[in-house]
Amino acid sequence: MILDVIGIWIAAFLTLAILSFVFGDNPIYKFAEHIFVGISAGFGVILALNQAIWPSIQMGLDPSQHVFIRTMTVVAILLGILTLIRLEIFTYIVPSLVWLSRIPIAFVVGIGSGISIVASIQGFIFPQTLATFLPVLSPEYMIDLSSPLNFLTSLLFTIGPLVILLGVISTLVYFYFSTEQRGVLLGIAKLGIIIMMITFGASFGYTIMARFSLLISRFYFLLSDWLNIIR
Amino acid sequence: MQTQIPVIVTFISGILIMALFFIPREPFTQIEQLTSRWYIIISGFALLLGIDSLILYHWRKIKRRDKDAVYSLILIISFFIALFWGIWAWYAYGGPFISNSSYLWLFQNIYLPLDATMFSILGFFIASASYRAFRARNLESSLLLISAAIVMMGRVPFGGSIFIPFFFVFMIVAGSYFLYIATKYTGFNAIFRYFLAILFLSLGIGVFFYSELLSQFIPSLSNWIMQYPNTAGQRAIILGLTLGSIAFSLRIIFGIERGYIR
Repeated sequence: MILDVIGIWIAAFLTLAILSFVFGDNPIYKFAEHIFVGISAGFGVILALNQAIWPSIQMGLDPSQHVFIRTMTVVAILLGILTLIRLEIFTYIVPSLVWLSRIPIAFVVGIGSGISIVASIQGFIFPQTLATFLPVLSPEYMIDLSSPLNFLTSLLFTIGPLVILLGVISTLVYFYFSTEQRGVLLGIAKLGIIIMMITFGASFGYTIMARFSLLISRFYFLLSDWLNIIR
Repeated sequence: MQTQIPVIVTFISGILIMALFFIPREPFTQIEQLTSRWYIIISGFALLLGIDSLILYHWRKIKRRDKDAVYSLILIISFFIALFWGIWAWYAYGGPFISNSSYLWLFQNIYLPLDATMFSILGFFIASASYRAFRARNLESSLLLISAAIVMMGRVPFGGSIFIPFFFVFMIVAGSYFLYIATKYTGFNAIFRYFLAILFLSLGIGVFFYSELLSQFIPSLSNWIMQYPNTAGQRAIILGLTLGSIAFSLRIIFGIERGYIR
């Protein structure tokens, strides 16, 4: 119980410390900011160890695994240790061996690049392309003539897939720089600009709403949990 | 040799992981699992390099007794508190993130408020940036302004009602502006601007007659913008980015891009 109260007071102090940045860069803000960076880094290390690295090592070294798998896991740990030769202290002790740390890093970069290619094609390019080339009039909506409002709403949602198709193509055309944009190409590219401006505006508006929701939640915490003014 | 071996390792590992994806049979599936495990373990150690860099940077500032050295000391102390508390909680509770672990107190009362407040103050800077970005200077910035306003108004209670006076004033001002500048153009440019002027003025005047309907329409329009034009723009931009990342990955695998071995 007492720990909860202390926790709320610390949280309130840190919240106010960060909010003090509204009045400009100041020592209280810097204090909270550096705590945030330090705690985040420590937290990140524990999270990575607990959720990814340790379970992988534990699974690989499990006695039920084949001896080959266990040996390979030991090799991975050794390669991981090899990465640490790049730590600053080793650059003074064994400078001629520092290049060896490039081998495990090269492995990680190679695997990351390979996964990125396959995942991008399978997980993004094909599904997104398939989701773009759909019937241009949505079968989910019917034109509703019961009132002007319903008509306009149903019309907009019915032609939605057409907007997506034209929007994606025109925006891609805008980014096509292999030839000079003239005539029809320029017209399509201009439509692309319009679509992008609507997108940026919508994303901007959405981000503002999200940030202010967070701000309201922090004020709610201060007024409710800390000061008990509102319930 | 110091450059060639890493380039060869990158090439083999990149091609191997792509080939394994296309052969979903034993023993290739097991090799894929093994490779993924290697990847997780080695990148975990690589994380320590990043931490080493962060801590050494701040340690040097403390040693030099820089102006802000005290903050660097706070950062290092915070880092080690979070690290050792996590290790202790792991040992004492059997895991740092299980329900009764004291490490969650640190998360709940220090990390979470700092994280949420840090992101929430961005709201002030976004509001300031939006003042500069949303000035309706031309058609493109007007579209940016209109779509942002509709999305914001459509997502708050009574947003539609609040929107109507703004909408009326904006449409009348924009319509008058286009009517004024249309006189300075000839041919298609003039016709286009007259068209925009008539459209904006009609919409502005129409608000009076359909204000009730419009206030109900704004939330639907906000959803429509998010669901269709916004999806189209985001999709096209991300498709471009993805194609770029594939090209970059290929450059790395084939050893054209070697920045990571410096």
